[in-house]
Amino acid sequence: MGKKQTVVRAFSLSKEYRIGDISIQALKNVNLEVFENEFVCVEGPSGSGKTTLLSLIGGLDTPTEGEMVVFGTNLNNCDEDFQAVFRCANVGFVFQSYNLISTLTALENVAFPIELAGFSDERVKQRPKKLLELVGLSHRANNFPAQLSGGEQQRVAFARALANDPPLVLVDEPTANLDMYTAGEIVALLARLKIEGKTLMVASHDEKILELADRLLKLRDGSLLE
Amino acid sequence: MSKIGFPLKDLRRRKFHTTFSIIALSLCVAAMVSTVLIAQNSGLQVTALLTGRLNVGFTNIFSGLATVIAYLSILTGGVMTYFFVSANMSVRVRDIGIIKASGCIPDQAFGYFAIQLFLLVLSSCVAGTGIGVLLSYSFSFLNPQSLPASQMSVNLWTVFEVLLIFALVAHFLGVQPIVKAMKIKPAEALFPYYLRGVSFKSAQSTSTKLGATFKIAYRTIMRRKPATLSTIFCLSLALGSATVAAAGTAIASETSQNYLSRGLGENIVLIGHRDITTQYTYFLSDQLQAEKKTTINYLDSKYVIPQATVLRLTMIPNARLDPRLFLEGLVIERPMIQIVEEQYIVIGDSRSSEALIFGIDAELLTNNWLIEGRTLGKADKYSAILGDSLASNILTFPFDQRVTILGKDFEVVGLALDPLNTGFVAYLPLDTLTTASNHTGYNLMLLRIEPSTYSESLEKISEAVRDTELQLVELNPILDRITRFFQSLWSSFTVVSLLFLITMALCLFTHMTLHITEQEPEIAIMRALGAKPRKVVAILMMQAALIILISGTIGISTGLFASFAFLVPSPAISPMNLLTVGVWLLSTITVLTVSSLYPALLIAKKTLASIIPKL
Repeated sequence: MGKKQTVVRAFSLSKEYRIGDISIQALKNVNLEVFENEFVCVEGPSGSGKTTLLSLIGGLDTPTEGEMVVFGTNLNNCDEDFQAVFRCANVGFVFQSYNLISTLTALENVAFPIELAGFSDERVKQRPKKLLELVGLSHRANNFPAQLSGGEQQRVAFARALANDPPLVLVDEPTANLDMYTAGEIVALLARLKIEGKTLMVASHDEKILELADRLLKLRDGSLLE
Repeated sequence: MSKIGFPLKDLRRRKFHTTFSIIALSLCVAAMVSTVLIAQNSGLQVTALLTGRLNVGFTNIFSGLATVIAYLSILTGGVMTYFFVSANMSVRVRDIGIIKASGCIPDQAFGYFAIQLFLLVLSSCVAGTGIGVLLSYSFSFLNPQSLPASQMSVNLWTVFEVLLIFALVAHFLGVQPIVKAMKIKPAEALFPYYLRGVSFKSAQSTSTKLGATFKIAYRTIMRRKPATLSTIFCLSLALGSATVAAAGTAIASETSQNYLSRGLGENIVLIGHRDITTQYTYFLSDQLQAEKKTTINYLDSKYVIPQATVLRLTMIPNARLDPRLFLEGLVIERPMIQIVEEQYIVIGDSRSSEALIFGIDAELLTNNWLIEGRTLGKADKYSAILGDSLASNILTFPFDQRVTILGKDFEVVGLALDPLNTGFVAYLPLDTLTTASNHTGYNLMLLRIEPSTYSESLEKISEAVRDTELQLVELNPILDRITRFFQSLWSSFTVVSLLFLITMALCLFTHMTLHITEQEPEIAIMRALGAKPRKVVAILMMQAALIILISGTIGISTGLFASFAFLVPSPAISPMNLLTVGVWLLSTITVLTVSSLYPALLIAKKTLASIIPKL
């Protein structure tokens, strides 16, 4: 078996937020590597820097110090346009509070990243339907986010994250706001993605998700524990 | 702290919103005050308090437009107040929730915002009056011919009157969003996603064939229906007002020119004794407030144009002769008796007025007035055409009454809009006037020259009157001066349309800024999903374009329809009018687009990192 390719590589990564005179050190000197097809779980208490780490990996934010290289691209040196194209093609995001676009239906929310990537009309039409079917929401395709339950919104968010079939999927606290039954459905979905061979980075406290993970990263006060 | 301490402090803290509100409202007040002052000082009647120094016809016709512009300014100001107060209340809903939840009596909270409204209106009235007076004086300095600065006056009562109307309208409309906001329950106001008029019902469906840019833009503005409708209403009204001010004045200016050239005639040369021609040009220059007139005996034999000269002038090709007998006299109203339901009713009295009296040969007239009724015919002996101001001054029913001139009674057959002596003129058949005045011959000749041979014919006319006491005066320069007077008068109202334009730009800018602030989390999601900044700008511009398109269609079309169809009677519409309106439309759309583009560019320029924490 050959050596697995590195998907994410972080060198001495630090992130500091400044609010007026107060500075908050969200990440301190983080070094990590994530390989292809790996399921990495980031665990830590609230405020430990999990979301910040995922944001830096996804190119949503830039580090104060250090380097973030994703698929061989140093995201620190890229402009906003390049980062947008990079995210659209390579990274799927599932946010903690779903963050669906309220003015688009479930189907259109899933179609949005495909349209952004400039795929054919046929793909824009067909793929979202398949993805909603995958997450068991075909019957809710034409509903707007406000008409969906929390679990349904989360599943649409998963479908949207997979829209452009990205090799890396980042998931932030996917079960935090859900009841046990719905959380179980989300865990099943993650398991399925793992089987399909996606590289997954999930920030979570959920034990069922931690059990699924190939590797566990523990974050405490912005530092990665060995 | 005093009762107005908190609201004042709060207004000062919200610098951006307060400044924009005061500027927009001040510009509406300035538009209103400058319209009234310029109109008042130019002689256009805007309110019952003002009297004119123009023809009654001109005043009646054009004061309608000036009045409409003044009232539209008041209404636009009121609606803008409603818009800015609504915008302010939309971002204060959470505060209201907290105030109410902490046990504050709703009346107290209402009083707090009502004081803010009062302060806004008051400061706008003060600033707007200052700007309006300044604009009027600037116009006066720039156009000394039409409105000499020395003759400018500020009628404080008139200004107070319009400010009072504005303040009442602004308070009535401005208080509505405050009342509405006060009715919100604390729990509703504290709901974290409560946004300005956002509906959480299902979004409007649109064709799936349309791209995501249009779908998001359309549904976003539809989801914020109350805010969108309020903005569209404000913009439509302001656009309508601005279109009336721009297109209406362009048409009015062209129409004035048309009436003037018809009343005076073009390419006309005046021939007569120096005293007579000087007097005639004095009377023509009333609008320009020319030199003082002197009293002369028009029937003096020295003023009679010799028959030999008349013959010589008749021989000149391409010059049409219009001989006249010109004098000043008293025109007296003849009362009329009517039988209504077997009762005799006396209409009119014996009112009289000094006027210019002309004996004319109907078949040789060189001008073509805008006339109500008819001109004199060959068979008319005791018929008269009266100037509009004279008729309106001394007659109740001009066409049913008679007038007495030089002891003879005349039937009124026509009312002419004549710039001469501001419409205090009477035209009688030449033979009748000659007989009535015991005078023979003419004391004034008007010659209309073909434009193609103007210089050549002018040379010949000069030759014909050389070595006589007669003077030749070209009327074209005088017509140009009067035309310029009217053009500059109307150009002052174009400034009003510019004030409206700035107000609209501020309104749209404020709407877009609030709208974008509300959408910031969704913009962040789109960018996180891979939307480039220019895609975000495209979505926001599409939203602005939809608002501009709807407001423009309503406002501009209503304004144009009103201007072309109602506001100026018998309008003269030339290609120049249409070009002016076209340029106006283009510049309006450009300014509005730029004003909405700026906040869109600002959000697109922000890094994703700076808006992502809101996810």
